[in-house]
Amino acid sequence: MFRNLLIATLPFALVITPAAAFEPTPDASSLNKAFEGESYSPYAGRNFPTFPLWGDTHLHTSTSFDAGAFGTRLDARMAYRLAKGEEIKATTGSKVRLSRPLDFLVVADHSDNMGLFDLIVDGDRSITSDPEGQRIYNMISAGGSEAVKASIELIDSFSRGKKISDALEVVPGTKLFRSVWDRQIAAAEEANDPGRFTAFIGYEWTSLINGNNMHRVVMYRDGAARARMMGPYTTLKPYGSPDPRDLWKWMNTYEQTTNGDVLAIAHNGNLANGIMFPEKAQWNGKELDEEYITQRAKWEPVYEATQIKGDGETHPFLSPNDEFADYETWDKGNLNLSEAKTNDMLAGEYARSALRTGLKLEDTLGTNPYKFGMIGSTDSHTSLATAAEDNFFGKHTGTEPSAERPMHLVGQFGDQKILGWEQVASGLAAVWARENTRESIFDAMERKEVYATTGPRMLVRFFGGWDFTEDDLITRNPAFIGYRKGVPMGADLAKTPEGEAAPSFMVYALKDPIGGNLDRIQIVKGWLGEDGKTQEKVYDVVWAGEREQDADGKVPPVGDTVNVGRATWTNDIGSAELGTVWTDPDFDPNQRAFYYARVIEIPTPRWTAYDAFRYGIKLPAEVPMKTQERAYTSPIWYTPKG
Amino acid sequence: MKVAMLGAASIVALTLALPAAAQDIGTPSPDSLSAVYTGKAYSPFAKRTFPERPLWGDSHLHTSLSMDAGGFGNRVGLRDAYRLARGEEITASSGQPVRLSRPLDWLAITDHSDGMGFIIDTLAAIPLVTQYEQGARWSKGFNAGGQEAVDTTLDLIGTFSQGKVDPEMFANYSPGSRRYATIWEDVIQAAEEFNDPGRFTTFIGFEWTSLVKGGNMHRNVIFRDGADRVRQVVPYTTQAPIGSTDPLDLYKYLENYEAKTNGAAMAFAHNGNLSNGIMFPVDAQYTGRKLDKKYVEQRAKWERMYEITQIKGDGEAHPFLSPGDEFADYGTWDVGNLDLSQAKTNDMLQYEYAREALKNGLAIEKKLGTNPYKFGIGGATDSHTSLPTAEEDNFFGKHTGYEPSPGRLTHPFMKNENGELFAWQMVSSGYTAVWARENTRTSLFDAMDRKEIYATTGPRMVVRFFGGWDYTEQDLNSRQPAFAGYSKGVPMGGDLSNAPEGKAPTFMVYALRDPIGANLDRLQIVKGWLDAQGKTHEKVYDVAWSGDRTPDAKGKIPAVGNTVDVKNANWTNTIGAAELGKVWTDPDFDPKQRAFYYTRVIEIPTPPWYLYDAFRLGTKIPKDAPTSQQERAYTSPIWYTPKQ
Repeated sequence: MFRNLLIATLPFALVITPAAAFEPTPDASSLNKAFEGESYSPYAGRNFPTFPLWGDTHLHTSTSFDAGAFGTRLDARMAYRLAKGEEIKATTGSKVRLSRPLDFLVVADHSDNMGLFDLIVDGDRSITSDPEGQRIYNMISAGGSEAVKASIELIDSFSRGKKISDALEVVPGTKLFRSVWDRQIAAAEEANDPGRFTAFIGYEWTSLINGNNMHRVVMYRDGAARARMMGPYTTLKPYGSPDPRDLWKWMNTYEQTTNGDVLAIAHNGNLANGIMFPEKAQWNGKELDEEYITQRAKWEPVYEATQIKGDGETHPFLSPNDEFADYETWDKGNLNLSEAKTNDMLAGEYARSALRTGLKLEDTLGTNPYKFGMIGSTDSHTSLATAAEDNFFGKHTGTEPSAERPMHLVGQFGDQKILGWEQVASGLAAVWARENTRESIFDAMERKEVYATTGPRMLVRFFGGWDFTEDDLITRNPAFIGYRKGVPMGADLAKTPEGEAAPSFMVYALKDPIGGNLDRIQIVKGWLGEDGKTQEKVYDVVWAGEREQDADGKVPPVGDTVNVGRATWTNDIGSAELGTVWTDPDFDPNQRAFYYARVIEIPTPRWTAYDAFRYGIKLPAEVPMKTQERAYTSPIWYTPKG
Repeated sequence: MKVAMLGAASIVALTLALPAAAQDIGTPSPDSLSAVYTGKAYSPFAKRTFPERPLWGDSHLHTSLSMDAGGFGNRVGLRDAYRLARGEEITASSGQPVRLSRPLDWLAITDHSDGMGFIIDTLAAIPLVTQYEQGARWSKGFNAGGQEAVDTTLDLIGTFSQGKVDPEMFANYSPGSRRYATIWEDVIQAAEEFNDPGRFTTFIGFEWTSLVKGGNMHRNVIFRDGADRVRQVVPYTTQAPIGSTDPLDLYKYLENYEAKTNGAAMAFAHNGNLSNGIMFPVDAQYTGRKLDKKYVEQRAKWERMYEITQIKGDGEAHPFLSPGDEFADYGTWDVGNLDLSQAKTNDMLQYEYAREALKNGLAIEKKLGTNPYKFGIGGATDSHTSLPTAEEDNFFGKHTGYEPSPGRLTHPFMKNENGELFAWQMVSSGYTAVWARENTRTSLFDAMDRKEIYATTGPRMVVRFFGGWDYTEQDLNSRQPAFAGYSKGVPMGGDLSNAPEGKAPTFMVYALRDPIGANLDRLQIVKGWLDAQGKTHEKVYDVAWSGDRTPDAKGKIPAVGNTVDVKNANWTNTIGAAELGKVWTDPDFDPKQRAFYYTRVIEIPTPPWYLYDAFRLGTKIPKDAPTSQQERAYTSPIWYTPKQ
């Protein structure tokens, strides 16, 4: 009825504006047939995605200067082939294949000095016609310790901001830079296969301020025609800048120039030493202003909440009551360990605290700069997007599988050390897109209908509304009602209806078919109190088995079936699917708030257990051998009226 | 490592001794070869040589080209059938939008070869039809619509079943005519248009519709090949003089096809439950001729799989044949033959059901040297709506008259003096799952040919089944049972022999529920064997089940429970298990006895399709119709044959 009315009134309105006029208004009864309502087949008319698409938005290949220097010899083409499900040979010679293909991949090589190592290894004329280039090429070609020496010389000069010679530098404005970028684009175009596999054009803008990580991955909705019109943005002066505001300016210019569409994804902030999510001052000391927060909100719709260099959802110091907060924490220092971490930095680094800070900033400045969706990615530098515990190829080529890798150094500065076993086999981005195309996936990211996992492919639905009921959930088709009665992850709750209503959330998770069962689903709430302070609370909303909540409202641990010696587990604890409709018991309609779901798996073997089993090695007691993998959905935000 | 090296070295040596097969310079040094055989890789998925997931399809679907389907009102053609199967939304003949919950991976459209395309031409009133009095009458009647069209349909069916159709007109829709060739060409064309290797496979095929006094002996024929080869033939029919109702003649057609084109084809029998005892003969063929070496060899050669379940009933087992099996009475259609012209009697059943045929095959093999009933197990819809809908919550019925409507439950499906079948007895079933590595015609066909397939009554549970001599619980608990499964034994459809001294066969079975479906109740292994006296036996073993249930005095696991909400047509997965697995050793093994083993996977109770009708359309649930059912999967058997 309502629909018919709407249709009938529309043409009248249009008569007044003849520029958009249609044909004369048909009789209402003749329109009935055009709007048939529900059909018998429950799947006819389905206008939402039926399963999430899985991908990695942050993968480096030999075209990244550091990856190349660390030994990766696989370029973007090989990275796409592995992601599509083919078997390839890793740089270290071992055969590698994913358990299941990915649906999409963003090759995000560092834009500074992009492709330099490929050019050296290839003996490109631009390198070998220069005496210094020739010298380096000869050393690299010689292999062994000579090559190691050359690569260290290159890394060293690069990190000190010096170049060995003009030829050993790939910078914007040069023919070389354009040809490297064109090759990256060509590789994506070749691999892109709409409906089956999406290859995104992208790069990483690698801003490092005194060792503090402010990297952003830039990904394109567009194909070659637009992406070719401009080279990627870099950080080194005079061509680039390490200031995110300059990156956003570049993005704006790109969109103006090409009529295209790009977005930026901040690297996990855990190595930023406090400057990833500023609350008061930007990295350069300038006050947070209107421009900063509106631009950040505009260009950075999703955030990388987990990856190989640690998990960034929250930190035990920030969330002392959250017994799952200390998950794969990397908090020794910044990216190159040149500065140790202090507790006061943490609030500017982790996703949950940033979501809270965002509420506060929105209250005072009018825009929430940290209103982001959550994804995970690998940031692997091996060209291999491996995030599964039983198939983990490490951070870079030096940490590809070997009996020695768990105890190898990954990084060191002074006394601070990070050892191989500390790497996290994480993560993936799940995207609720209807079609496996650049446009559909990109648009889902922009509307934040995405979630992060630390590797497994559990399916997670999360809807917020005002009147979900248990009956909606047990229809066996919760998504139909989810979209009809509420909003999905990443969205804003509609305004509060009159009365005393509290928002209800429908959450449903199905385990990865080849993965571990689920322990529990939690809803994490953050809100801004009247005192201007933010708070957070983690609610256990549904869990496996007969466990009772303890006095603090906590559900006890699910148990543990891991056989560390054989690196296996059994799914006879936990649950294959969990779902509930949960109403916020502490809702205050005057408080800004966000809600997101965290899905926790039962304990399973960590990648270190697979290494110990397969190589027959014994690892020190400090090395964790088990993990409880998880998923983080994008939040749903509530904003009071007025 | 060592073994591979030795093998490589000795192959080279062999090659040198046989210069005709030599390829290049002499023997490489063992050192230089060791890099070639690198052994196990770190990545467990590297060098994976087996399929990681089954590919789902319907091997038996009719479109408007089939004479009966068209006559019953199906107006959906080949291309829309493919569109629906690959996941698109289309409009059914009844005008309703329809879509599958998930796409199928492949589809075989198998329209009846006799009179293929006759109805669409009658509707189109083309002169090849309307120049004959009957054709003109029917064309006018169909196009008039309403009651006149219904009467026309009945007139047409009556005329055909009495054999009174104008032979000259019908010859235009039989092999040898130009029109028949162009209709077949369109079948091939449509399949070629929609075949999309790696994503969606279409098989060219047809149904050979042998009906002997109402006894159903239908066979579906599918081709491994594309247009280039299949264009060289037209389908085989049943009407003399060109066609025949004798399967031996169909085998000849297949033989000729392969000889002529260098291609490959197979036949598989329609569910035998409506054959009134002639689908799986033991002593004499339907013609009265004795079963001989030729029959059993030909049947074994050409009929590689069997349609165990479909809309017209489930054909695994019958309660009369398997009185000890409490799950045997599922989707049973045992009122009579296909047209209900003859009532069913108990003595017919042993020649109709899959389990009994598998048992009889062992006895025949002993007698004649070949097992004619050594088939893989598939499921299909045999839907006549062009819509391969096998899910309970999305069931579009047997033919267009039974597409969803408030009325579909109120009229009988079939009724005469021999008995009655109610509309609710239509089974929303089934699909074939194929363990093929690639979604291509060749890969799927070859998997069917080696019987690495299983049937389900609609849900898409993943089922692995391996047989060998030394599987252990650890193989199963590795989280990757298939690796050990393939390296230590044979998958479903395979053979075991040469029992090691004192050993009984072990079976590793693993099932994962349909992600959007119901939990699993139990896994059973069904064993059939032939004893020294030449008698066959069967036994159903519960091997894994959900929860803490313990076997009763008779060794049976009690029922899993029931969460079906009849009023709202739903259920909860609060009982049952999402995955079940077991390594099972036959406790009653006798190395001298021929035997087969297959797995049956039982889901927890869920609502049958008519509960969804009642909920959505407000219709009454018919009296006597059960308000819950337990869907299932049947794997192809693994056979054990004693050493000769």
